[in-house]
Amino acid sequence: MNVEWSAVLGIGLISFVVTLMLFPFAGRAKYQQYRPATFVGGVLFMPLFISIAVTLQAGWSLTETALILPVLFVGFWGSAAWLIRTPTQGSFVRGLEVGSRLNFRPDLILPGGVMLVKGIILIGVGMLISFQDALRLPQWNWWGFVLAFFGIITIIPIRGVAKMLARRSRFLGNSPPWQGTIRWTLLVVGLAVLLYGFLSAFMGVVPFAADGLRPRAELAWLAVALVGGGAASLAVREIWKRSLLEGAETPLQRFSSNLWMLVSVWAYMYGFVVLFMGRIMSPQLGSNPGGVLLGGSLFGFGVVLILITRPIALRRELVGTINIMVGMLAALEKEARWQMMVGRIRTIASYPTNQCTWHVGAMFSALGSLPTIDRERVEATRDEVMMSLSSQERQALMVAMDQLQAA
Amino acid sequence: MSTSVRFVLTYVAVLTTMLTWWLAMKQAATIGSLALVVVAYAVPVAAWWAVVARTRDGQTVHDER
Repeated sequence: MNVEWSAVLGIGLISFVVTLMLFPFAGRAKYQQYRPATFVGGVLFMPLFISIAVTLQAGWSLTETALILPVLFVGFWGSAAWLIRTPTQGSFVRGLEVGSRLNFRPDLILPGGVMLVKGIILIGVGMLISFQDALRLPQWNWWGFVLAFFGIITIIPIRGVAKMLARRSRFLGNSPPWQGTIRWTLLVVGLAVLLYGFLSAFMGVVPFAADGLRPRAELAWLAVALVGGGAASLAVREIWKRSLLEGAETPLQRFSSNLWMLVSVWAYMYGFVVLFMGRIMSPQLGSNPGGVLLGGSLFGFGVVLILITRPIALRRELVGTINIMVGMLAALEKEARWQMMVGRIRTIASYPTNQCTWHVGAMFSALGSLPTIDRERVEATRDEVMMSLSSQERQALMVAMDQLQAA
Repeated sequence: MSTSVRFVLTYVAVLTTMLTWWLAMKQAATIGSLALVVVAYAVPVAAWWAVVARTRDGQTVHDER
């Protein structure tokens, strides 16, 4: 029997992620408080990749595959879009601590990361299908997926945890200068691995093999300009984001941030296409109308994930992080709680008024979701900390509370 | 049984299920094998609907009667 080890490895990696996401680390009694039902549903649909792979490798007729593939890709899209329903309110649960001050909460970081990665995949597949001169569907190579998996890991959990740690640091008054650089590096490196892996997978070739995808000399200058330009644009975006008031961004600023990311990532992706195809490619409406329709639809689905659903997921991640931080305050020893509370309240008091008001409101809302005994513990420490503040800091917080009451 | 042992056993069970599913779809080698996708998802979705969807934010939705 001929064992397809690349597929076994790929499926083993998918299975590991599914197990890690759904395993009841804090017991089964409170399972739905730390693994919300919508999150469980979204994770259960992750292995849909396996059926997409089987469909692309099955050797069915072009018409059959062209009819089935969109249905599977809609499921692939829907399992990501569905994650915007994941609730994060009042979700601190003991037993998920990694170290003393971090919770293992994939339900917080997964939605935003999955929407970005699946959006990129759908946009990429859409381009590949619509750029053909006749209707041709992608192929599949499991080694390409195995390589791409490490890009997925870099962008979703590693970058997600780095973002969460940096955010916690900022919320406690520390703003390490490296955080933007790390986020950017993880995104650019993760994208390179993801794109080369999936391009190999969908072209049906083994990555780095002699007959695999190799950089082409033709139009290399354009490829380098697009990849370098996309990466540079993402770096400028990181710098621009520093000027935004975290938590109090306007809807236009949030939309602009995601549009900026989409355009930069698209330039980066197109640079990869030019690099490995050696020519400028565009939708072939005249000779491949079916492919343009199918590819364009997948492209559109990807854009929706990045531009519409991801900002909502990121907002929920922010609120969830504050909820968990407040819940964790209750779980800490008194001295540690006091220190963390001082950092948090002083940071909030130093914000501009509208940002200060938003964070005070978010903290109150999180406090209200705690059980009475935990809430009283946090409130007692908060009152002690308030006494130790300067009059200027107290004044800033009073103004915020007045504005909240007026609202 | 320790958490790590339970995790490994769960992983082996998930992996076995996935590999069986993949092999079944591959062996069927016809477009009808996609019924296996429907069956594979119908079971967990039905279970999810029966058990989890009846609760909201971790609290059981009581019959309002």
